[in-house]
Amino acid sequence: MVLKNLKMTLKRSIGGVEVTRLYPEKIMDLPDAERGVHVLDIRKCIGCGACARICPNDCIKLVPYARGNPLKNKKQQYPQIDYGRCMFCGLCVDDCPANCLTMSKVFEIAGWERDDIVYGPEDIAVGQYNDQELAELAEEARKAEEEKKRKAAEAAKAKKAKAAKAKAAEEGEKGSGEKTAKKKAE
Amino acid sequence: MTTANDVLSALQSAFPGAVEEAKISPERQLWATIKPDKIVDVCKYLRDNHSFDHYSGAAGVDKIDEGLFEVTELLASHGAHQVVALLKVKTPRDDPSVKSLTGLYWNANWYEREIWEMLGINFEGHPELYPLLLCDELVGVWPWRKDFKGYPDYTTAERAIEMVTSDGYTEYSFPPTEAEIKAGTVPVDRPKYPTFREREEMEIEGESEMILHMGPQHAVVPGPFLLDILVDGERVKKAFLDVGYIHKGIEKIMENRTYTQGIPITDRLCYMAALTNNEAYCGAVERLLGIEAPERGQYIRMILEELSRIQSHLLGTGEFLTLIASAVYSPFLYMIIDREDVLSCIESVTGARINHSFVRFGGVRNDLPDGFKDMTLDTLKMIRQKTEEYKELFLSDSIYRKRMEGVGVLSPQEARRLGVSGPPLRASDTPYDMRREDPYLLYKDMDFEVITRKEGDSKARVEVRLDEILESCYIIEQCLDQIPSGPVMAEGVPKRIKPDPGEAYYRVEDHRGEMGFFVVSDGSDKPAKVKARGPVYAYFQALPPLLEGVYIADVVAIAGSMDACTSEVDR
Repeated sequence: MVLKNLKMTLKRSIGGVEVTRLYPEKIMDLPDAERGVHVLDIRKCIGCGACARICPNDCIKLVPYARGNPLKNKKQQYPQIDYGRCMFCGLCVDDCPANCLTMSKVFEIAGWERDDIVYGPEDIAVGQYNDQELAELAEEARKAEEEKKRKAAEAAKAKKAKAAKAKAAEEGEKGSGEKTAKKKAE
Repeated sequence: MTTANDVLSALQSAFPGAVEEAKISPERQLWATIKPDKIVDVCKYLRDNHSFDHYSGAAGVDKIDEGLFEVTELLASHGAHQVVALLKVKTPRDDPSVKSLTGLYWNANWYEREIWEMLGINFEGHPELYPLLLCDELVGVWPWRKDFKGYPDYTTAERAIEMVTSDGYTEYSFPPTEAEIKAGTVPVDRPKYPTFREREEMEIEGESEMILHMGPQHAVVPGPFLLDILVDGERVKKAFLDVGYIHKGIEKIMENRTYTQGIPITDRLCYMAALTNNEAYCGAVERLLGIEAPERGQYIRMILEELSRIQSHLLGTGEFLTLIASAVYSPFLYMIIDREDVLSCIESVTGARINHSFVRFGGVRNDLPDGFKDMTLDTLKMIRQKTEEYKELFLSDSIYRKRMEGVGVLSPQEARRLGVSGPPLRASDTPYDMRREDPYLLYKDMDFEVITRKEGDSKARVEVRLDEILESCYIIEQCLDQIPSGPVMAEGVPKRIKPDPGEAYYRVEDHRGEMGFFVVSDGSDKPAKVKARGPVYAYFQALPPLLEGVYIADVVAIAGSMDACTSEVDR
């Protein structure tokens, strides 16, 4: 009996069981499904706030972000995540309608102060616009704005003209109507 | 075989007029509203004539719109038939009082005490209506009522008033301010009852007897709870249990969250059983919504829940071995090493090792990754081999056997009377398993054996767990062979879950026993009431009678062999 137990101990100790992990030099393989720190695709985010609404711990807040897409609404806000409260349940990822919020394999987020683990859009964003792209997009946005203004002006002009025409036609119709009425009366 | 219809017609003929409303939905679940003055007779009739010998719990619901409280008693049978009777009793809100079932079912005691302290429903004929989970300051505010105004701020130490008691202890009290009394957050007239310490000191009879405290923070107690044993020499004369040290109010929290937001909170009931808790909650809400997960989704749930059972049993057994021989730490570490591989299998699907939040209404979150089958089969092979080794080790070790055999024996009748479920019940020769008894998911298609032992002692309980690991391996292998391709989520599940008004009860076989969720919907996007019926609650209630008459040295061996989890008891 004693021998049997001893055999097991020996097997365990010689059998090449990896007992200690060499963290942090060697981090264990994490699966693709791992739920770590969020990643926000800044080019896809539509700022709807679905993530903030579904969060059970209320740790997602929408904040303004200067380096967002200038083509979109300038007041659009992006999620900021407080990892002091996040429990990594992944409901925000499931609920995202634009599929822009995902979770990465990063889990080392310790900080010295509470504010250190509040990650704003600039910390979790991928595919951020660089300065040149931003300038180009701003130019595009400006052009689009101008185009829009021009179109609006044109539309207003056309509308005005149309309204004037309609008025004239109405008046004409009224006049003719009056005439027919008069005729009938005669 | 008795069906729910048979039970209903028998009830209606035996007690004409006592059944006010009745429905059967789904099959095997009988919902009936019973007249308040007939409830004890009806339950006695069901217990004696239709073998409803398992009192599974009770849930109190505050129906503030109707001015009513509703108490739902859950009755089932230990294997005679598969009908679950959910008997509702209504009582007016201004003077709530319901007849107690403690005379019929011994284990109704704690469930009724909890409803009394949370909702303020008086149970006529209850022998000890003392608070169970709440602290003494909170008794009388009735926190589960819908018009509960909130907890007064006791956090400021300036308000504390120091008092020296007669035995020289310093105690602090927090007198309520006038504003709090006006706002109604502080009870004005508290119910009178002897405190826990007074109750246990009443039992001391002679000079040779004394009370030995184990806990709330004790090296061999899993989680904080107070186990006081009244000893006479080396024998335990009576045991007292005080729980509620980590009462989190999960059921109340879930009333203030949407249905989807409740899923991660069910993980926190007990992290060892996160997946089965998810399953029980999601299953209840699926019943309310009338949806069902597609076949592949159900298979994935089964695979993961069985893997989760393996890891829980491994840790439970390892923890137990450290409890009985605190100096020997190596068996615990052996099992932890094995468990890591199982956790890695689960993690590759769910993305988390402990708190999974993986099951969704109508399916699961992800599909299985590539290579999951090979990885799991390798792990199962290793687990099988190791479990066989453990069994051999335990059987061959004469010291272990001397310490365990015949210790804490629960006879089948006693185990049923105390209302325990899971491995402790099956170790007492009662093959009661929800996977067989109330088949959920696709367990009815699976080929597996319900493990039982005849002895009912501590050793049998551990053996049942080890054998269940092997049985779980077999179930997972079958699932991996049979799993079809297809979607993992049902179609047409709305993003905003808003079930029609109604209620549902769904129970699953947790690693430790019967886990059930009772969910009431009032038509809004938040549940009106969630009641978790956990297995460890029943174990804890059964501990004091089980410990009577044993040696002090065996207390830990018996309590440890139950594989308890305080977090789930307190909720």
